[in-house]
Formats: sequence, C-alpha cells, structure tokens
Amino acid sequence: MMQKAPMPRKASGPFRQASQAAAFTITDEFKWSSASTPSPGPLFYLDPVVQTHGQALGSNTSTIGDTVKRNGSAEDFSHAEPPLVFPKALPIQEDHFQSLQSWEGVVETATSQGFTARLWDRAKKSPDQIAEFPIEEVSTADRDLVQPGAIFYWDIGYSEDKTGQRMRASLIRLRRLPAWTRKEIEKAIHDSAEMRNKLGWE
Amino acid sequence: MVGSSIGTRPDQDEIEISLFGPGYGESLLLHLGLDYWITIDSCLSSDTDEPAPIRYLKSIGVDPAQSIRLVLATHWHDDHIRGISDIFATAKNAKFLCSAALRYPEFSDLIELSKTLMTDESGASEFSRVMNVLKERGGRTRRASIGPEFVLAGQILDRRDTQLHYEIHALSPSNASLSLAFHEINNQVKEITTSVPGSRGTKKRIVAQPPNDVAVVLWLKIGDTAVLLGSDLEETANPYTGWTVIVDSSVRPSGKAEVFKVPHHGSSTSHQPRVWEEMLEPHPLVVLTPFLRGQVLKPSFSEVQEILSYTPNAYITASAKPKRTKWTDKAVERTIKETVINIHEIPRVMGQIRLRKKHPSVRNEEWMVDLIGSARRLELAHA
Repeated sequence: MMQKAPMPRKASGPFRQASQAAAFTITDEFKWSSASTPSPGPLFYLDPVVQTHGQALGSNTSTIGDTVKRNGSAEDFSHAEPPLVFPKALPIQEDHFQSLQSWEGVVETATSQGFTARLWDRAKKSPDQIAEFPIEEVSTADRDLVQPGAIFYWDIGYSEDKTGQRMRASLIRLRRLPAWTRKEIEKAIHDSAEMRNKLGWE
Repeated sequence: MVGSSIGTRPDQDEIEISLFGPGYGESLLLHLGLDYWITIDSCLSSDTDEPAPIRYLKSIGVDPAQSIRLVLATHWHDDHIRGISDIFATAKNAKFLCSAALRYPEFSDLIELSKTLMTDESGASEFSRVMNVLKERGGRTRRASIGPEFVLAGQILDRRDTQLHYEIHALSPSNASLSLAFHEINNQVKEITTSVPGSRGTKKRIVAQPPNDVAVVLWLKIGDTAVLLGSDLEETANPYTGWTVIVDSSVRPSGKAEVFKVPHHGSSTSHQPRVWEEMLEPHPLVVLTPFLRGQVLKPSFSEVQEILSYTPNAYITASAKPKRTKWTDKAVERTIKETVINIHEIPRVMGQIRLRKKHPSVRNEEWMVDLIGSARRLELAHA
C-alpha cells in the first residue's frame, strides 16, 4: 500500500541556518528544489548506526533525519532497496562553557591592585579556600564592584566557540543583588531603636 | 607535664583552660570548678559546624545548657565570633557579655542594617541572632535590662568568694580605644546610610574591620594563680590604647600570670616586651592559635622564635603553615596557578590545647597539658 508522502515542509530553525549552501524543500516527489544545488540522489542508506547517530544528534527531528521509502510503503522496506535518509544537520554550536570547577566567593579585602577572597566549592567536593587575585582577572566593567563583602562566582573550565575552538578559561563574575533602599534603611534604624528599648540597652 | 585522660570531665575542684583553633578562628573555654563553665569567643568544628566548645563539652559528658554561665565576645571579628549565637542559644543559664565598644546605638543600627544588607554570614549577623535570643529570654523576665552586658577596663566581671575562689578582671578596652571604636562604627553606619546605591549597586556582606584595640583582655585570678588572656589586643603607638595602657595601669590586679594566651596569633603587632617582664612569671606556659588567611600567615617563623626566646613552654592549636589542595584535574590546577597570586585551604582540622590543674587551694601542682587534634608544641608550628 502506498503511503502518502508528507506535505511539503520548509526546513526551519537551526537547520535552515546551517544549510544555507544547500537549502531545500521536501516535495511530494522528494526532489531537491534548490536552484543552486542539483538533485544529489540518495545521500545515506539506513542502517542501525546511522539511525542511532541521527537520533542522538538532533532535537529538530520533524524534517531532518526522517526515514522515507523511495518507492513503496514502510512495510516492505526490508525487501526493497535501502530507503533514503536525509542527513541530520548538526545543531548550530553556540558559545559553550564546560565548567570543571566552580566556587562562590566573598571579597574580604580589596585594593586597586587586587583582592583577597574566601571561596566555597559549589559542588562541595573540595575544601574551602582563601585566595588572592590580581584585579586584572576581573572584567573592567565589574571592577568597581570589587569591595569587601562583594559576592562573586569563579569558574574554571573549557570555553568552546561556534567553530568548535576550545580554550581553557577562568571566569570571574561579580554577583549583583538588589541594592538596599532608603526605606529599608529607615526601617532598620527604627528597628534598632526598638531593639535597644526592648533590651534596656543603655 | 603529663597529659590526662582526654575524654573525662574535670573534677569539681579542678580548673581547666581549653583553647580551640583550627587555623582560622579561636575560642576559649574555662572551667572554674563546681561545673561552672565560661566560653570566650567562638569558632566552629570542622565536621559538624557546631561551636567547638559545645562539641567538646558534650564529648566529656557536660551539659552545656546548664553548665555554661557566661558567654563573652571579646570583639566582633569573624575569626572570634562564628557560632557564638549558637553557644548563647544553647547556654540557657548564661549571661552574654561583650566589649563596651559595642554599647553605642550606632552598633545596634549596624546590626539591624546588616539584616537588610546581608548576603552571607558575618560578625554582625551573629550579634543579630544573639539579640534575638536575648529578646526571647527577656519576655520571661522582669529585669529592667536584659543585656548584653558591656565590658570596660577595670571591671570585675565575675567572682566566687568561697574556698574555690576566683575573680575575672577586665583589663581592656580602655576609654581611649572606645572613642576610636565609636568613630569606626559611626563611619561604617554613615557610609551605608548616606550612600544608597544606584541601579548598579549591589548587596554586600558587612565585613568586620579593625581596630583590634577594643578587644577584651582578661586577668583570671584563681586562688594565688593568675592567667592572662590576651584576646586580639594589639600594641599601638597611642599610649592610651593597646598593651601599654594596661601595663601602665595603676588599678590592674597585682601579681604575675603563669599562663598567657598570646594575643593576635603571636603577631609582632601585639608584642610588648613589658608584658613579658612585668605581667608574667619567668618561662610562663603560653598558648596561641595560628591565623592563615591568604598571604597573612601568623605567627611567622621569626614571631615564633620571639615567643620561644621568652619561654620554652609554648603551644599552638594548629600548624601555621598553609595547606595546599591537590587538584585531581590538571587543567584546574594549571588554571589556578595562572590566575591567583596565592591560594590555600581554610584550615578545618580543630586543634585543642587543654590545661588542667587542681584549684590551688586544694593542692599546689603544675598544669597538665593535653594536645588534641592538630595542636602541637610551638617549635613545630612551621613543620
């Protein structure tokens, strides 16, 4: 029994970006419609390895990596010539950071040259540390936040860019928390007077 | 001097002085006979985050809730105060005492402001929790003032006039150092209240700043024996603050101490030769804690030698040499080396120096010294 081929669908999402050199639309006839690219004929034949690989690669599986039969139904697939498999496009690589070690820190002392901080392993796998950093390790935009009491994160790991280039990296990010307000200060001073009164603090 | 059995509680007529310190942090625990215990400052046990004195008391079968009668915070630096609110909350029979430098209303302002500004633990938040315990207890009492009690040089903080006699005298803070402390605290409050951050502002932690010269130094007289507990008091150029004003005081208790808790981790800034000459017996028994913080490592090798030139009977609760973590991931290790100027572990192994002897009115004997955990003789501080 013939199975109706899927309606024409446009490749979308990351695939579209990735395949600008060979953009295509799937038609009833499974012909390549790209003006710039001639019909390439079958690209891959299905075998378990290809299928597994395809599944593992993609989140965008509606049009990519679909297995279709060239002439006939899916049922007689094993008896016919190998089915056509459209290649699974690799998702676009965004800049990616793989953290190997991550700490939360609090600045204890700070000068224009550097700062000392206490560090806690966020995975709780290594002992707490005390470290002294040169100020150059902090981005220029964040340097005014380096003051006693400031909270920051320090990550060590591998940074990978769109092209797959890998670099070992140390990232220090100062945490910004909602600052206090005039109203909060007034309430604190009021509560302080109340506490002294209650405790007979003379 | 022979070590006694570690897990036993002292006899009713036995005096004990225990100094705890893992390398960052310090706490003292005193037994003055008759199951009467006093804690001075606080630091945390490494494995349980329980205050070291509480953990120790439980381990020797003493109920801290009933037996601790005084909880004293000599000053509010992080390394002396972590866990003190837990000690006070546990010690249901205790009074809370602290330096008179904290009497100013501006300090209570700072405590309340810390609740808004806090992002993490600090000395201010410890005090805030102590105040909450006091308020809670105050609801059950009719006393006009429910504390804290503020300590000033010249005060007798506690005494017993029976056979097992003792007196606790405060030798600091001086009046001059109180004025300086007020200035310091007032500036900190002003800085917070007058500079509401803009959109780029951020919360931060209140980090205790110097000076150390508001720290409470104690003179403990037990029968005819005296003990000098130096807290973190540093010597200053100002003759009305620091150690000079204590040595020159005409109202301090007479006599010489046979035990000395060396101030400020044995640093040269706390050293005043006249203390050794005029307030201590020759070759006293001295105890101290190290301080390991980034590039600040106390006592240094030369500071150790300085102390040993006065007495061979010196002990320290932990090594003064920083421990470096061995990172299993080589990439992490390389990056750390390339990034920081200096890094080491915050020491966590608790050390305890325990001194015990019978009350002098019962029997005249030498102190017995027990070295527990990472504690060691001072000459091994850099080993």
